Amino acid sequence: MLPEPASQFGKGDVIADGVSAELDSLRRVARHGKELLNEIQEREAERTGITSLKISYNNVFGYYLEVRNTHKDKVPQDWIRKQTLVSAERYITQELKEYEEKILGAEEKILTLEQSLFALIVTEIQSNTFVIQQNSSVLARLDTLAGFAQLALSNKYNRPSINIGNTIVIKEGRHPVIETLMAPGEEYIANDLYLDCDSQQIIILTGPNMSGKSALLRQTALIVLLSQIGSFVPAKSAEIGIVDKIFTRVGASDNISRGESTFMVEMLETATILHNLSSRSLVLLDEIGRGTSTYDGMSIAWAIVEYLHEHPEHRAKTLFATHYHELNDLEEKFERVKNFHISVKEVDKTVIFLRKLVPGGTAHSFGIHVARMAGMPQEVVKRAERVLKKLEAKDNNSSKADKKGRVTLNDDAVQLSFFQLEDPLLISIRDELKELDINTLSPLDAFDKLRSLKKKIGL
Amino acid sequence: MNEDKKIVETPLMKQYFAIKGKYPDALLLFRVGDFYETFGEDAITASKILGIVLTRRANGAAQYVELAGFPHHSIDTYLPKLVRAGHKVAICDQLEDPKLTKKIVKRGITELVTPGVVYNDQILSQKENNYLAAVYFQKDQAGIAFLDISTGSFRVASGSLSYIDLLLASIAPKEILLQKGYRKGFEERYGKDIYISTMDEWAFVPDSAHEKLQIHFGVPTLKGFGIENMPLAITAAGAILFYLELTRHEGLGHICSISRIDEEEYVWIDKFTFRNLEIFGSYQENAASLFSVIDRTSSPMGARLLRSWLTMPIKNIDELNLRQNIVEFFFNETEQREKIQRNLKDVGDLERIISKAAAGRISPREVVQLKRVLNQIIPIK
Repeated sequence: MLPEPASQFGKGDVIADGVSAELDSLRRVARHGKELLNEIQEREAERTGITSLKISYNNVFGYYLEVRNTHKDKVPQDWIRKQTLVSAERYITQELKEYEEKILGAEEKILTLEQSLFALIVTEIQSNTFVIQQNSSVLARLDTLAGFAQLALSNKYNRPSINIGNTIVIKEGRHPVIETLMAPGEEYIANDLYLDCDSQQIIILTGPNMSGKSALLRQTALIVLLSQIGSFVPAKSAEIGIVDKIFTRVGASDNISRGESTFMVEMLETATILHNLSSRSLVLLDEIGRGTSTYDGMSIAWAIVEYLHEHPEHRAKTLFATHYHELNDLEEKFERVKNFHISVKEVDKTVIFLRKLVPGGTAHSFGIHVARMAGMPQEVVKRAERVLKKLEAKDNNSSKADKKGRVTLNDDAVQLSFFQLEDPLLISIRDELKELDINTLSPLDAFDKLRSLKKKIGL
Repeated sequence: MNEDKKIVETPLMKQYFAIKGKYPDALLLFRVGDFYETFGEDAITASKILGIVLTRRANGAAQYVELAGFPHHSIDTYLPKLVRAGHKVAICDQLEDPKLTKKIVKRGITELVTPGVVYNDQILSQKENNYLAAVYFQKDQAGIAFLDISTGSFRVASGSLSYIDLLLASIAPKEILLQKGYRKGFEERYGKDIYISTMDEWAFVPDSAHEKLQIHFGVPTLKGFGIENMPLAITAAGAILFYLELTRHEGLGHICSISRIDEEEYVWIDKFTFRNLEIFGSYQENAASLFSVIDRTSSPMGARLLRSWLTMPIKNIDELNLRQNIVEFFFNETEQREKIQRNLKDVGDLERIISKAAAGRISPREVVQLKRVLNQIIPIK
């Protein structure tokens, strides 16, 4: 084939010379056709004395001889008149037509021949399809992995270590996308993170809005994701116990166009998570309960954390960012729940985001500071501060007396839920019991069944 | 069709309606001389999408039919626009030389183009696969098959409905093939975003699907592909092959193998998580995605592989270590890496070109490109 073939057959040459003898000779006829025509033109011009004789081509008549009217009388008998124009006449001759047929015939034959030669080439290619496909997979793989290396060099990633344990240890982790969006001179603040199934399974992350809670959640998931596709990660080091499910429920998503409210969507997404947990799941919850009233939202959030902690089969590692600092009380009650917050410094009346992950819960949500920074009118901010003081005082007084009472309430609440059939565990037990046919069950089988049911509940 | 059409039609229109009747849900491009014409509703739609003039044509005594058309050689410009707008397009060509016949020229459908079955570079995005998926439901389980005809990638899976949900979210096919009658249920569950095509019962029969696959791959059993014991998946895969036949896509030599997507091998990431983590895009229009930040591939094949790895991360530690070892090698050997990347850039989209060759749709320029590319591979080895 030619190195620069025509874009379509018929619009130029496709197959190179020297490939097919037949093609070459046909081409000679077609190309030299022009010379032949010139010869005819010269000959006829000489014979008839019509020096301005021209041979041209159009789609209607093919090749024809064009003669100016002034020379009309010199036209010989054997010429056949085809068309009369204002200043000229057009004729054809037997000889001309014969050559025309040869040339056009050649061009048609060339087209067919080129196409069939091309088809042969394509068939040859086709027989190698499988091998070429294999080559291209290998190439794709090389490409992606080389790309990872380039990425690691330019963005300062390091190799994570992956193991079959159940622990996630990230040292100086960063968010792969946000860190590229920092203003010049600004550096992304890295953070360490530790999650396992025995001592620190669930982290409750409190802190003001805009402090970086969501970023921390997302970067944890992204670092796990990157390590499980074979790439290096944006962290000083990372030890990742293989994760088999990553769930995130972040912020306020809007499926408003589908007619679902934000809170409904939130509940739907969270429900999916709770129904599909596994022992190696990583769960990230960001501001659950936001779309409804404060008490409702907080209660749901509380119950969710309990569920995740108390699940008999699966201890899903969880990061729960929330604005409900009441949830900090969970740390006392449940041994694998730990409080953390994103550090923020209050200097005079402004707030500086230090963005460091620090153990412990926060009492304040700095919401008012943010309002001040946003430029809310002074009276509004001052009034808000006074209202806040009052509410906090009320809360403190009642909380001491209530603490004992609250603890019992929680216990009752746990007890109650055990009998509610929404619990997937109970539903599965019920289903198993349903399947049993007592009439055909042997005592031994019944015993086994009881044993397995007991195991299921964790007894 | 209303009463008016019963009045005597021209032979051309008669021919048109006969063909249109066979493909009522496709936009019909009817070749008339040097033009592709659309009529009636199709013309109104085409004129809107393509920005071409809508006019009328006489159809028998005192009847008119809407008409919109474009020159046949512009089809590569207009066809992609129609498909991208989500339409199935039937291309009807003149089957014989009009100079050779005295009566009306014979015409027939030469291709049915649908969003999930595309070779055309103008419609495809380089960095993404373009999958057709078929789903075969049976009570609370389903079999699913995915085919990207532009690369030959053919994969199947079966399992619970929620597993199917996950796969649909990860692989994001552009068109779904269902049994007739399942359209509404599917739309209720998944919304109307994906283009749906349906086929009759006969295309979803396990035994004939099994046979069809065996014949296609030229093998006595499907054991070699590891899918022998997946009747639901096999049925879905068979439906895809039947669909390709129906839409006149022969030349499937590049579909050389079929593989199983094993639920156990991959990390479960649901569709909410994809969006929440902004892996490919987010709720906000201009936010950078993870993909855009980490993509350093030099060829479209690499980009597509990266995308598929991101949607289905793995749990196999050995494979992950192998990948990391190679990354580490390139990390340390910058010169080698850069050399390979330069070569890879020249390789371009080998995967899609070879598929076109196998389907007989390759152009002379592409063949030359292929030759060049194959030469490039040698230094990489």
